[in-house]
Amino acid sequence: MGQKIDTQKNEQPAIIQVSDLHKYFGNFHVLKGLNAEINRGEVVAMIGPSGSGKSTFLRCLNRLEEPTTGSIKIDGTEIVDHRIDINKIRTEIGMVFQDYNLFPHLNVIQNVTLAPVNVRRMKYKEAEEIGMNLLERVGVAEKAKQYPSNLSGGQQQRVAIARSLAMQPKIMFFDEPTSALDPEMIREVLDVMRGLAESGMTMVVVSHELGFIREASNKVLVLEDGLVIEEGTPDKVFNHAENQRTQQFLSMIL
Amino acid sequence: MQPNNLWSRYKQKYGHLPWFRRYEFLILFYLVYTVYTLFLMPPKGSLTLWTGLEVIFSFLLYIAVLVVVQMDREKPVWLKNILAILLFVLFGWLFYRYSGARWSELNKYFFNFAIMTEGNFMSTREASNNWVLMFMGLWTAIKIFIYSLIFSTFLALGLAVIRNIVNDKLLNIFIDLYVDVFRAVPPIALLIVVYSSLPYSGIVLSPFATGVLTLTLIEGAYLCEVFRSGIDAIHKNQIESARSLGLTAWKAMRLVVIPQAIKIIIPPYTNRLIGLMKRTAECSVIAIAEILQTAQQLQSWYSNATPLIIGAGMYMLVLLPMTKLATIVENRRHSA
Repeated sequence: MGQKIDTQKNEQPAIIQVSDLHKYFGNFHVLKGLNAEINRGEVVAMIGPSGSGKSTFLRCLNRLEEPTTGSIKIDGTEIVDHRIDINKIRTEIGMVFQDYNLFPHLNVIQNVTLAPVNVRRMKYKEAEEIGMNLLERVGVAEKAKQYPSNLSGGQQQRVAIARSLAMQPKIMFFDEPTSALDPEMIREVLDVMRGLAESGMTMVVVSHELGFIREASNKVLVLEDGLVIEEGTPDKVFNHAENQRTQQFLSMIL
Repeated sequence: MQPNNLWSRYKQKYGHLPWFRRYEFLILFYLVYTVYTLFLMPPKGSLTLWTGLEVIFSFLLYIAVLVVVQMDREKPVWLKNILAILLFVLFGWLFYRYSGARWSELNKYFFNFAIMTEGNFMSTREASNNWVLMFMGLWTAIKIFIYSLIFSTFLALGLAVIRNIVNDKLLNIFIDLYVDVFRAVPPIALLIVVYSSLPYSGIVLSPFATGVLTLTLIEGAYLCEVFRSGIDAIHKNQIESARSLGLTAWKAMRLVVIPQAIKIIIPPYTNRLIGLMKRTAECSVIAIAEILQTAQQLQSWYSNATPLIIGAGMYMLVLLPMTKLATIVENRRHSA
């Protein structure tokens, strides 16, 4: 039976379906009826001026912010519903934050294995093996026994990516992963993300790294004032934007 | 070739200095004078005008030496320290010599350790002398301390965690009410009230249990605030990143927040711990034979305050190692 449901789910191309999403902070209307659809294996970049609701939208998608109204379907499951177990949904979604948010009291490998051991009930040995493989993949394996405070920003962010990947998620969210980093560290993090995109991971990236977006993403969403004002391939958005505001915004950051 | 005697060496070392910086002779003179006036002259009983002048002169001389030495950068630090400490010794000596106190009587009423080996009306076969009685009191105090420490820590941790995770408005009001009320009540008043009123409600507790209950309630309120502030000090980002990995709120609290909060909590927690140990003394009002109660009984029996001095020493006996231990634990957490 479980398999049957799985095959049903896999038939749907859209892994995230958002319709008419509203979010208020008190009286402040942040998201004003967002609609979006993200397909399996797609790398979606979100850009837009600050305050346009990019981060809030991303955080609503795994309910770190509670959406006020609207519908979000992750892999066919409606998550704007207090009866569902959101922790279960979150295990399928990795999230990488702007300020890395590693756990400072644990060393790198403990950071990576914390969730698999305590949520997935994995044996520590097994989790450690997976963790070491991931750390090798992001290139910080030699730092496994170090504490986060001894790592550079770029290394910390790569550990944070490995920590999310250790849960073997289906989707990865990146909330401005490089905006707190120096230029050379930005490159090492973007390289890891590029590798991840090539491996077929579904990714939603809030970023201002236009080079990376142009190269690695399949779709760009431009947000403005709580709404998606432009949607399409990077080429279409960057070179043939239809919306006046998109053109304005892009001319400012290009 | 210069002669190598004491005087020439002195000239070589200090000859370049102007006279007012060559004060070594001053120190020498001062030492001789002080030793003569304070230690060798026969005691004069009460303070007369002449001894008064002597003391003041001696004092001014000392201060003059002290100031000159402290201002001299070339003088070694150990000399400066010794001179500063000597000032306190001088104070103490002068007080002892000239205050006109009856030191022998003070000794008799406060440091008469001979009475501690006697037996009295409280003695039993097990507790045959007063030392044993006092140490039994100490053991009772430690038991009260440990029980209320454990219970109040669990109570406070539970409340602080619930307040943070459940965060229900009505529940928060109740927790805040508990914290505010029990922080506002003096422990001694609550002890008397609980001890005298609880039996009327049909609950009859032993004095020991009453003491533990009351101290637990009061300590729980304080520790709840301590834990809450520790938990609040951990950045919200930490909880968010833990939750985004799929950890439940309770697991995020246990695995991420509390291990980090402990470092912040230890100093205020130690403070409360020390306070709690001392607050067990207040249980003496409800007839628990802890340190203070035993000491007071012995004091009135012998009309002698030695047991109180010993009692005070016993609190120190427990608390000094405890503070040391807390410092060690704290340092270990910091280095980790």
